[in-house]
Amino acid sequence: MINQMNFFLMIGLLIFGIGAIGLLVRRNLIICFMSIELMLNGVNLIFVTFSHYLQSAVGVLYVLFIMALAAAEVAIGLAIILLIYRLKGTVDMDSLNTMKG
Amino acid sequence: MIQEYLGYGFSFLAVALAISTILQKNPIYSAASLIGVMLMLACNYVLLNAEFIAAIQVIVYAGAIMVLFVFVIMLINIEYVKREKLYYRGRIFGVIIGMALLLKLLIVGYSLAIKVQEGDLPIPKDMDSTKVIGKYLFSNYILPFEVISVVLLIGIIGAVVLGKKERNGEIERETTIKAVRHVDM
Repeated sequence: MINQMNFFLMIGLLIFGIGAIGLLVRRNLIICFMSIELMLNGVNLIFVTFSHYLQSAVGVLYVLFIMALAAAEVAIGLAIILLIYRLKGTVDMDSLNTMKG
Repeated sequence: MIQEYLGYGFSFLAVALAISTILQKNPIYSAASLIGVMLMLACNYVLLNAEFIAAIQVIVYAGAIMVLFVFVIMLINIEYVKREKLYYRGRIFGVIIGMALLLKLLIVGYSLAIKVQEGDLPIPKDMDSTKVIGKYLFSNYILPFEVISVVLLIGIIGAVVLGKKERNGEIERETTIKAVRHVDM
């Protein structure tokens, strides 16, 4: 039987990996952005797990900073996606080929 | 004992909803699944004695960030997005690389054994999570706390500048979108 700490660690890693697969596989910009949020959430779970089992406050504090950074990142990223939609009329990644040589 | 089973249930639901997030064709269903993942993770945080983080997770992630996502999905034309093909042969490489990364991470997580019993900034026995965060955030971590406020200010300014419509060239852009739509239909 696997112990409790490794179980929560593996759940965090599993969510991180699912987010990475989504980022590699999907071509819709908004869903790729959601995959990045999934990866951030997996890392947050790992931080909180270590903070609980090591009785240290560092992990919990870093989770707060990650959440603030994620909020700023989402605000700017979604504004950029809206600009791309206004310019191109689509949010498909494969249509963003204006810099090809 | 019951906490252990609750942890298993919440974690299983979180993983299932995460898989649903990346497999949905419609971005609205994807966003709903992502909200579910965040709520399940908030339940896990409560089990891990981090009540303040759980509350912030529900308020900031499930409340603010996901509302922004749903708002932007409503603004764009969803008919385009639905036409994305989910399965074709080029994607198998992405799946293989992602699975390799996942397998390596899981092996590390399974075999990890931590000998250290106490880290830096120890949590006292008689303090709850909120009090500990307040104590250390405004003493040891006061500089990162101030820097993160500047980062959020830059985020606000950037979103406003990017989202502002320009008067010049507006007509040109609208016609471009219509032309693209016409071709795609």
